[in-house]
This record gives sequence, C-alpha cells and structure tokens, in this order.
Amino acid sequence: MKAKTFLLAIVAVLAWPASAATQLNDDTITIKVDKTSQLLVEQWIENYKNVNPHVLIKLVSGKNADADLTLVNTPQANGNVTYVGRYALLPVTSDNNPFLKDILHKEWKSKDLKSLFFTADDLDDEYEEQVEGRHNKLNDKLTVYSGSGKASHTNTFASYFGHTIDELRGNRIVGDDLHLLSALKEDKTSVTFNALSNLYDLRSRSLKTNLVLLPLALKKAQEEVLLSGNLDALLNIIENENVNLIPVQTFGFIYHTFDADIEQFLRWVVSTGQQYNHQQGFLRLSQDEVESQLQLLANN
Amino acid sequence: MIKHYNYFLAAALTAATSLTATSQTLQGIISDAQTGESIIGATVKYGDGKGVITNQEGHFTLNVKTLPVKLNITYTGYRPQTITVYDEEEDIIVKLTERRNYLNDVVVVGYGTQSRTQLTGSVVTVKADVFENSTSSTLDGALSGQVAGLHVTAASGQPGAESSIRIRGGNSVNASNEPLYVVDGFIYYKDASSSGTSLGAIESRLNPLATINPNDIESIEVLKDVSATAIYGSRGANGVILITTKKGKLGEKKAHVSYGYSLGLSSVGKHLNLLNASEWALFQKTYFSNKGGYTDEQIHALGKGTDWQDAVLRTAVQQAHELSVNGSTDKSRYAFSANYTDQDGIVLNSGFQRYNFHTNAEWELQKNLKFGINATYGRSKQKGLTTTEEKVFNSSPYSAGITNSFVYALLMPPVISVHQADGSYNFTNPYEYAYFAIGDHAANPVYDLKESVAENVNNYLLSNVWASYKLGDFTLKATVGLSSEKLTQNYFSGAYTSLGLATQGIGGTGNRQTDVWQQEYTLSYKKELDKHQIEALAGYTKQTSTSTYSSIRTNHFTNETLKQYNLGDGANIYTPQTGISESTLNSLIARVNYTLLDRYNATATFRADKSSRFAKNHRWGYFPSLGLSWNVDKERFLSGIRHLDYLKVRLTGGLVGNQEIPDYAFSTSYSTGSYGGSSSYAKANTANDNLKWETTASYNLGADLGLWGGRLSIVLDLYYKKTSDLLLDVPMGFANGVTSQLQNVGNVENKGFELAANGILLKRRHIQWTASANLAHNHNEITNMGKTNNVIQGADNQQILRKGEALGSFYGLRFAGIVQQGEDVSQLPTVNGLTPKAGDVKFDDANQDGKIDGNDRVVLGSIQPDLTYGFSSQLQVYEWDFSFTFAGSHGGKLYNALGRRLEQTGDSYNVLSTVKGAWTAENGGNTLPLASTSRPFSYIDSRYVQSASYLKLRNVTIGYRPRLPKSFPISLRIYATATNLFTLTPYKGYDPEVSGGTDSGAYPSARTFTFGVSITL
Repeated sequence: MKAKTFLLAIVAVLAWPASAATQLNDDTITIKVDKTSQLLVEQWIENYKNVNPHVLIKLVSGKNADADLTLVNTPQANGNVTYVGRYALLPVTSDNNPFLKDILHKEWKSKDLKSLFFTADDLDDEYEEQVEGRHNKLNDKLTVYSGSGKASHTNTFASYFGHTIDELRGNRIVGDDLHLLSALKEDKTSVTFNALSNLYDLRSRSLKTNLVLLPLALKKAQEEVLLSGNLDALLNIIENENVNLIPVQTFGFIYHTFDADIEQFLRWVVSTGQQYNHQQGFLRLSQDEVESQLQLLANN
Repeated sequence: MIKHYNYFLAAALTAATSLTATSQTLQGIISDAQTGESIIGATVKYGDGKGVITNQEGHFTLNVKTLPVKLNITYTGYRPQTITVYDEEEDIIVKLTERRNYLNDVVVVGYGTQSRTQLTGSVVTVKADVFENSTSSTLDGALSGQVAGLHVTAASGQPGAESSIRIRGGNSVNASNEPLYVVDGFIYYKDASSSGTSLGAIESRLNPLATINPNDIESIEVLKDVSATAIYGSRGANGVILITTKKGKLGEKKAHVSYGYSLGLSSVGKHLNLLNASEWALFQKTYFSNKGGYTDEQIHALGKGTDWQDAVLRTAVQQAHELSVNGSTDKSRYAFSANYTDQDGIVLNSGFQRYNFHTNAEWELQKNLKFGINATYGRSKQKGLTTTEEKVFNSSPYSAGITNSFVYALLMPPVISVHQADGSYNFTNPYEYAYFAIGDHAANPVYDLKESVAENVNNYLLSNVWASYKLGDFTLKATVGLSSEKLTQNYFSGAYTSLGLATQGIGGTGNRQTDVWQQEYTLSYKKELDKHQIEALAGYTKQTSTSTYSSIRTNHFTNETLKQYNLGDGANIYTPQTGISESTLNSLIARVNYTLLDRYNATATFRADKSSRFAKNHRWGYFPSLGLSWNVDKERFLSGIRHLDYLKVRLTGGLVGNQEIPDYAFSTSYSTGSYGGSSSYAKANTANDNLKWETTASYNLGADLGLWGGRLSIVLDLYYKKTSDLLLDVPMGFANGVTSQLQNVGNVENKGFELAANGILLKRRHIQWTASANLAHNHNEITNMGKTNNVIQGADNQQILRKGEALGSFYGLRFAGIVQQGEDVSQLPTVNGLTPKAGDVKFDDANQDGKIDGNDRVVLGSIQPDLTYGFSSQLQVYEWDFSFTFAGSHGGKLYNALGRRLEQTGDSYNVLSTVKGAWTAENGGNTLPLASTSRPFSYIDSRYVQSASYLKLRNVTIGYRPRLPKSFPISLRIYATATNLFTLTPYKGYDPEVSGGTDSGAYPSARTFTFGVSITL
C-alpha cells in the first residue's frame, strides 16, 4: 500500500507542471526567455514585484509554450516590440586549446575574424584555401562552433561581419547559446562567440575560468580594458566609446497581448529596470532609446 | 478493484517515465541554404551509425535517449554539417550549402533524371535565366548561341514564325531534320504533315514552339549523342530537346506570386539601298524609253520621291504580360501561369498574338502514391503576308522573284505615290505591265498589306496526367496525354490587290484538327549498394495521331466587306479539299545504368518502334545504344593534382531512326480535282513496298573537365554520324504517273567537334561575373546517292544533291566578270550561241567546251556552316545586372534571290543602288552588266550565292533590383533589353539568317528595344 501511495505521488509530481501551466491566472503576465537572459529578467521581475506586489509575473518555457511577452535578440520588423537592453558579443576559446599560443599571439582584425568564422567570401579565397594550399593554417586547426535557432545571437554576429548564418564555418549547436561554452569544454580546438552575460562570472565580475578571449585589434585603451577581464570596465567602455569588432545589438520583448499591466511592467523595465542590466552582463539602452521606447509604449 | 488500480498505476508510471527519461523526439527540417528548397533524402546520422532520411518535405524525426546528441547531416553535392543538439526548445533547422561542382548537377534525361557524374551521353543544360534575359516570345529565339552544335536559323523576321533547329547538322533530305521536343517528360509531337491546311497563299507558318511560353521554362536539356537520344529511338536521330517547366518548390509553404510586364519597340534592322525617284527616272531616261517623259529639270525636281520600303515598314509595338503563382503544401506542389503576348510586326498589318495558360501540379495521395497533371491551353494568332506563289497571270511573278507584297513594295518605282492627292490609294502605275496591272488598275503594295488577310490561328491543348507508385526499390508510372490542336488558316485578297486583280478578289479558309494521344507505362528500379549503383527502366509507349483537314477557296467577289467570312459571295468555287491521315507508333523501351565505385558508368539503351508510316514488312525498327564513361579524377593516380576538380571521359555508340515523313508514303494514293466540270483523280504517289526506316549510326567521344575550384569547366565532344537508307524523293519516269517517289536511297555523314567553356571570372559577395563560350564544327557530306545522283532542287534550280557534296549545296555558274571594251571576245565561250559583247556577263566555262550552258554549273558552296559559335556573359554588381549574348556562324552560303531580282534592270521596277555601278562604256565596271531589259541567265551564278557568315549581338540586358524596405515584402526588377542590336555580315540582303538557304524576300528581322518590370511577392 505504501508503495502504491509513493507511485501515486510520483505520478502527481510528474503531472503537476503541465497542469499548473494551464491553470495560470488570467491576470498573470507570462514571459518566455532564453537562458542567456533569464537571470536579468528574473531580477527585473523580482524588483518590479517589490514595488508592484499585486502583479503576477511568471516565466514559462517549452517549445509550444505561449507567453504574453517573448524575449527576442534581434530587431523586429513587426512593431509590437519594446527594446529593453543591449548585449555585446565576444569571440572566445578555452584555455586548454592546444593552439592557444598562436591565438594569443595574433591581433585579430575584422578580416581575420571573417576568415576564421566564415566560409570564403569569394571564389578566389576559396580556391586559395582549398587548392592552392595558401590557406590560413591556424584557421584550419580551429573548429568554429555557432548557434542556431531564433534565440541564438548567431545572426547578430554574422550580420555584423556582413555574412549570413549559413556562411559560418564549422559545427552548429541547437539549444541556448550558453551551450556553446559546453562545446568549448568538449572540443579543445573550438572557438566560438557569446554574450558577455554568459562569458563573465557575474559575481566576481571577471571572465569565467577556462575561457580566453581572442585579442581583438582595438584601440590601445580599449584593448587594455578587454585584456583586464573586468566586466564593468568593459561594459562602460562599450557604452561610452565607439568600439570596433564587438557586435552590439538591442534585445526586447515582443508582446502578443497588451494591457495596462504589461505596459506598466515594460515602462518600468525600460526606465527603472535599466539599472540591473550591467549587473547581469548587459548594456543599458541609450537615453535616446529609452525615450523612444517610452514614447512608443505611450502610443499603444 | 485493487488489482485494476495496480495496473493503472503501473501503466501511468511507465508512461510518465518514458516521457521524462527514456526517449526524446527531435524534429527538424533540412533545406538548401541558397534556394530555400527542401532537401529530400538527406541523411541524418547520430549515435552509433543510426540514421534517418528526410522525407518529401525535407523533414526528419528521430528519438534519442539523452541530450546532447551529435547529428551528422550529409547529402550528395552539399557540404556536410555537424550539429550538436543540447535541448529541444526549438525545431532543428539545417541549411546545407551546395558544393560548386558541375558534376553535382542532376540532369533530366529521357524518362528520368540522372546525376551528371553518372552520365555517359552528351547532354547540355540551359537554365531559366537564359529565357528570362531573352525577350523572344518562343524558346528557339533564346537558344541561339547557347549550346555548342545547336544551330538556330529563323525562317524570317515575321513574329511567331518557325525556326530551323539543327543539332549536329542535318541528317536527312526529305524527312524532317528538326529535333524532338519533350515537355515535362511528355513528347510534344509535331506531325510532319500537320502544319498547314492545304490552303496555300499564306507565306508564314506558325512556330510549333509558340505553344510553350519561355517564361514557364525551368530548364532545357539538349540531348545530342546517341546514348542520350536512343531511348527515343525512331525520333532521336535529330537530337532531343527536353523542356522542364517550373514547379512549386516542396517544403516552401509560402506561395510565390510574380507579375511581369514588358513593352518593346521594333524597327527594321537594316534598310536596303534602293534608287530614289530622281535616280530612278534618270536611270530610265539613260537606258530605257523614259516612259514618264521626264526632262532633266523634272528629274532633278523629283527628289527622293516615294520610299516604298519605308511605306510598308513601321515601328512596331510589342507588349507582354506574365502572371505566375507557385507554391506547395505538405502533400502537394503547384505552378500556374498566364501569358499574353501582343507583338506587332515591322511590316504593315503583320504580327503575333498569344494567350497561354499553363499549370503543373502534383499530389502525394498516399504514402508512395503520387498523381500529377500538366496542362497548357492557349491560342496563337499570326498575321503575315500573302504569297504570290499560286498566281499565274501573264507569267508567274513568284518565279520572277516577286514573292509577296513586301518584295513588290521594294520594286515599286519611287516616282509612284502611295496615295493620290485626295488621300485615297493610288492604283495607277504606268510602269507596271507585267504582273500586277489590269487596264488602268495596278496593285499598290501598301493597300495590299493593309487590306489583305493571311492568318494562322492555332487553338491548342497540351495535357497529360500521370500517377506513380513506389514499391520498395521499384517505381511504377503511367502517363496518358493528349495534344490537341486546331489550326485555322484564313486568307483574302481583294480585287484591287496584287493577288486578287486577275480574279476580282480571292479568299479561302482552312482548318486542320490534329489529335495525338500518347500512353506511357514504365517500371523503374533503383538500388544503391556499397560499391554499385544500378538503375533500370522498362516500358511500353503508344502514340496515335489523327489529323483531319478541310479548306475551301472562292473568287470573283461582288462584296468584300466581310472578306473571308463571306466566301459564299465568290462566284467561282475551287474544288474543296478535305482529308484525313492517321498513324500509330508502338514502342518498347529499356535502359540500364550501372555505376561502379562512383567511377565507372555504363548506360545500355534499347528501343523497338513499330511505325505505321512504313511498308508492311518494314515497320519494326530496333535502336540499341551503349554508353560508357569514366570519372578519371576519382582514380588514385590523379588525386594529387590540385587544380583538377573533375575529369570525365565518355564514349557512346548506337543507332537511332527517323520516321518524319508523311503518312501513307509507302502506298499508292490519288488526289482529287476537277476537270471539265467533273471531278477528277490524279495519281499523287506510287507504292513503295520497301519503304523503311532511315537509320543513323552515331558515335561520340567526349570529355568533361573542371579546373581551379569551379572556376572553369570545359566540355569537348567529337562525333561521327552516318545516316543510311536515306528517305529521298527520287525522280521517276512518266510511266509511273508521278514525278518522284520516296525511297530509301543513299547515305549522309556528319562529323565534327564541339567545344564549350564556362568560366566564373569573379564571384564575390556582391559582384559576380560569368562567361560562356561555345564553338562547333560540322562537316556534312552525301556519301552515297545510289543510282540517283545530281538531283536539282529549288525554284531557280539553285540547289543540288550530289555524292561528295553537302546537303543544301548551291549549284550554278561561276561569275567571271564583265566583258570590257576592247576585250578579245573571240576567246570567250559563247552564250546561247552568241559571242558576248562589251558589257555582258562572263562565266567560267567549267567543262571548257567553248559554250556556257547548264553543264558549266558547279557547286558554289552550301548552307552548312563550317563553324557556329556563341559567347555570353553575365555581370551582377550589387543591385545591378548586365548580360549579353553573341551568336555567330561562319562558312555557310545563302542564295540571295531577292538581291538578284533587285539588280535585274528594266523599265518597270526599282533596283538596288548598286546598279548605279553597272557597266558602262564610259566607266567600265566589273560586277553588273550593262543595264537592259534582258532577263538574267536562266542559271544562278556565284554573285548571288553569298556568304551567310555573321556575328550577331543577340541581346544586351541591363537590370536593376532596388533594395526595398523590409516592410515592403516584394522583389522588384526593372530592366531594359536590346535585341539584335547589330549584325556583322558580308551578306548583302536584309539578314543572313534565312532557313532553307534561299532568301527570296524573307520578312526582314527587327531590332527591338524592350523595357520591363517584374514583381515577385
């Protein structure tokens, strides 16, 4: 009898999440996010609830889950979006990469990054690589990993260098970009790119252990900040200076429904919530962007 | 109760655990990165070699125990991709990038498709962009210069007129030399006897290819050698052109809607220089009787007078609308298009109109069971010129070189006006006394062209339905189709027209209904083993053709208002013509393709045809072929060559046939007529119990070479063809009651080489530049004529069939200059028994018998060009595109009958301005004789067998695709095209491209400027 009760309890536990998801209160704001942004969104929710305790906000997940707000990492042609922050991407490898010395010896310019991450831009280059043997030997030794799918930042990285995601070399992963760091562990020759929020330890504010950034050909002061490994210094310099070679893109919430509660929450995120962006490894919106987003919300 | 409860609990637990721990279902879709089209049959491998294949929509589903899992995705011709799946939050979307390699192409072959790596035959693919860049309303116009060994010659510049297409030269004399057309796997059969209604009097024929809208074409495969064509057996001898129309793309759910509009202006590409009024009047006064009685002052005052050439030519407008929709669903794909073309001709009252609707759809009814339909319905209407061929009044104007009203306009004296002072047509021409005047009435070519009717109207339905069922490695396919065409021909020439003058108006109408039913049943097998790939095909096809025709003509009209729609007004009725012909062709087909180690390929083909067109005991024809090819680049000894992408060597041999002769040519037949008010019969053909297939043995040695990473590809072919049992009209004695009989006599050989090169000159992200060039040489020779030799052909007896010479050889006297003043004429051969005098033409006395007659005629060249070539290039720079195509021919000859007519001096007609250089006692001259009313010598001479070599800039296109905001989801292209911008040629007539080899006043070709826009949603 005890065993039966135990099994029943297991069945009940297994069945609970699905039933709970379908039983959300109509007033609950549901939000779907990727893992990369999850901590930031959770912090927004937590702090928003502190000042608006009556509002119910819940994160949902799953391929088929519907949500009032869905976080998107690329600009949208559709107007039903409010941009809430920016992210920056950096190329990275692991400290046990056997070719680390060669990687660090190089000052990575735009042309080098294109050559490393993307298939040949034209037939001449491709021919040189494939036939003439004039290929870049270091590039051939390294394996590029990139993401795929709507939640990935890959599209932003490819667009920044004038390519499409189809033109990325190497292997792909399906899943959150956070998993690209798992690929670095599994394949010592791998190089990839990722958002600062995934690359840096948000507590120590320094680069995660075992990760090494590719030395980019930046201005001297900027290069020093990058090499220092300090997240806050890096966020400040990207926000306040014109930094090449580091793709920066806005992200936001697409809203499928729009009511006063959602508007109020988005207004808070765009204004007050910005103070948490750095804490979670993201860039704030510029003042102009803040005003523009608030205006768009007012027009809805 | 408790027991049941236990069972429930256990089941629930099992289900729950299986959902959470034992298996996860991954779903994904694989597509082409560039086109977005789903990739069917891609392999997705995971774990320890487990794998799945993508389905018809490019989807795959697999169950894995744990994540992450690594998937290896491969598909032939594409770069492999490795994907690691960490979670299942989203479906897996994979876009594969194609490897650039010519041999990765899949080409359409007879009754199937084949990878180019496995191909043994000589097959050239022409892609859709060639047709998109051409403004030609028919596909033959766009093919010129694109394929080595494929020579297109337009019959004339008449809009909608047919072309002559020769693949590797002509094989036959009296049977057709045109290639076979196959549209979406179904033979588009144009019966040799179905292009007219026995009406006559209409100069132009509708292009059979006008039923196919070039914009519907996805690609064309030109099958040139026997390994590729033997599957079409009896109809493969002249090559085969496979046309594949556009289809919806599987896996691409969004429907694509395109609309295009083009507007063009055409004008004549070249004017002939004729005498103006002053020049002509002076000429008349100097050499003839000065019928006009002009004084020198009056002659000077005449000025240019009437330019009759300009009066019958015009700037013509053409426009076309294209609408197409294509897309797919999970289980079907579809394409639909509608086209309207309205093309005015540059000669008055001529033109071409077409409405065309095409659909191509298929459905997956059940797993492994597919059903499809292809249908084209349309109507083509061609307005052309009436021909003077049947008019015999005083004597034949046609024989005298006045073949139609356009030519007559060139001959009109420039002192005659088109209109009278009151604006009415001028029917007074005192100089006309030979052909086109009765009493005070003379023909007026402008009136002729504007008021005469010469129409071809074709209503057509080309349709077939098919079903296929896949059973393991076998596929059964059945296709049934109907090609139904109703051709109507109308003509009318009123009492004041050149044709109607003698008969007070003449008109007629004719109809021909041609229905061709075809059935095909095939069983195919495909198996891939470790080192072996085998494909086999066997089938049965049957074709039944029925063609009925009727025509009626009347003359002597009292009321011309309704023209051919009131033929009952004609008082005289010609004998009505009606008839029927039927034919059947039963065929068995078989083919086996075998590939070993991806290196060694063999194709064996066999077809047996039974044709009702041949004598009873000779109806079966057997056509085998064998093709071998070797992918040499895959051998180890070539693996170290860095610059080599691929190298393939091909060798093929086999037999194909030709049955394109009229029905019942093997039997005795009689034609009806009237004699003395009663019906009469005349023998039309005498039986030949031995009439059988014309067969062509063909051999081909070819090589495909790819170099420098896809930058350069070269195709070289050497071939030899020998056509035996030539279907030849052999002259017969009077005792047989017919002038000739179709017999199997003699051989023709064609041998030559073809070289084609395609290069990618630049391929950067926003700049792409490609170029293609091709060159072909063919040597054509009649190697055997049996007991029959020296068959003279043509209205001016200008051509000859002779052993050792090429088909279409010209036969005439060799011009030797003009007899000059003081020249010793005693040494010259006599002409018609007379010694030439100063100012007369001299000819070579080829047999040196001291006199010039028919025995001095020699072969003066042939219509066969030594070289044909083409060159094209496409450049794309950001939003701009630019392309051009040159086509050329060298070494062929053309009989310029129009030039000969226009240099014939007299007191009736205008002449070319070259006549001003005719011999005179004062100025000499060594080309044209002293002007006189003497008719030219009855044999043609070498002055008018002129070089037909040319280099034409077929088209130049510049296009622009503006970048539109993303919120404006359309693709827009604006373009301008110039067609026939220039022609470099020594030929002295309008255009060196005239099919048949005789330019007796062909409709001149036009230069066209087209502007267009296309929009895709």
